[in-house]
Amino acid sequence: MNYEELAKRAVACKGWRWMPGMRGVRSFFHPTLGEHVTVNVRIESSLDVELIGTPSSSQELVSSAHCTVSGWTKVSDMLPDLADPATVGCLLALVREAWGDNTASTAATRELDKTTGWIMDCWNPQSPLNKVGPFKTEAEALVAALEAAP
Amino acid sequence: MENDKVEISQRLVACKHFRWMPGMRTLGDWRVINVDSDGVEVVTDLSEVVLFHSGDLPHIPSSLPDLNDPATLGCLLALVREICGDSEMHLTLGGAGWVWLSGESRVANVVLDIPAGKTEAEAITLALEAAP
Repeated sequence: MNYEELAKRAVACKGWRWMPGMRGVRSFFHPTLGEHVTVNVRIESSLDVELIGTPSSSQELVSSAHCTVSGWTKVSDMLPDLADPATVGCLLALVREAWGDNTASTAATRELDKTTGWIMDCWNPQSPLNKVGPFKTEAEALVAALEAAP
Repeated sequence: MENDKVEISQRLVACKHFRWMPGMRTLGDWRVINVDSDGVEVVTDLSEVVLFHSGDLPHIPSSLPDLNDPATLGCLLALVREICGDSEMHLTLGGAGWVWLSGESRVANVVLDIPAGKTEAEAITLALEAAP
């Protein structure tokens, strides 16, 4: 499963919300430029921002008054960048919040075929959170944990 | 932030392997948005974008990393994995505190040779301090 599909699952979770420090990404076809444009936003404040102006083919912005990019139909189309360490850290915080368990963490485990699997791990061995995984990536384990949150 | 976390932040920035990463937040409520050869670009608490030349930021008051910030902790975890060359390193809470494991060591039930930390932030600091 690629990061975009995972990100769509993440934002569909009831425990999902944008957190300061996360990185959002949105790619879209810009009719004026005639090419696909990727805009990255480092979340700092409210996402309720009007984006106007002319983007370059790729731009990194902050979700504040500094945003000056056009072609953005609505901010809710943005997806979290699950390859970004800060975003993954925030996703872990959301999982902990959703489960009410500050001991939750991701753990790498060696599978029988010698590949790495990522599972969720927490202090309480009886917690169903410990049954989440294994998955191929750390991000997938976190998204699955957020989906499975009570 | 509690005094012990400030102390840990000070230890962190003193580590030779520490570097600012996009997404980190400072105790002064600044957010790092870009890091390149020109320096570290931050958004200040007044929503101003400021570029600090490499090496300057750690010496500016209140520019310690905010260890209560989940994004900052995520960056630091990635930094430890990069410095230690082990993408499977992870923290888990055990009887001794937050301990470092890797995929391989989990099977063998052996923790990595890094002291446990009372908090995740302390464990991260200990890992960076211990890195060669």
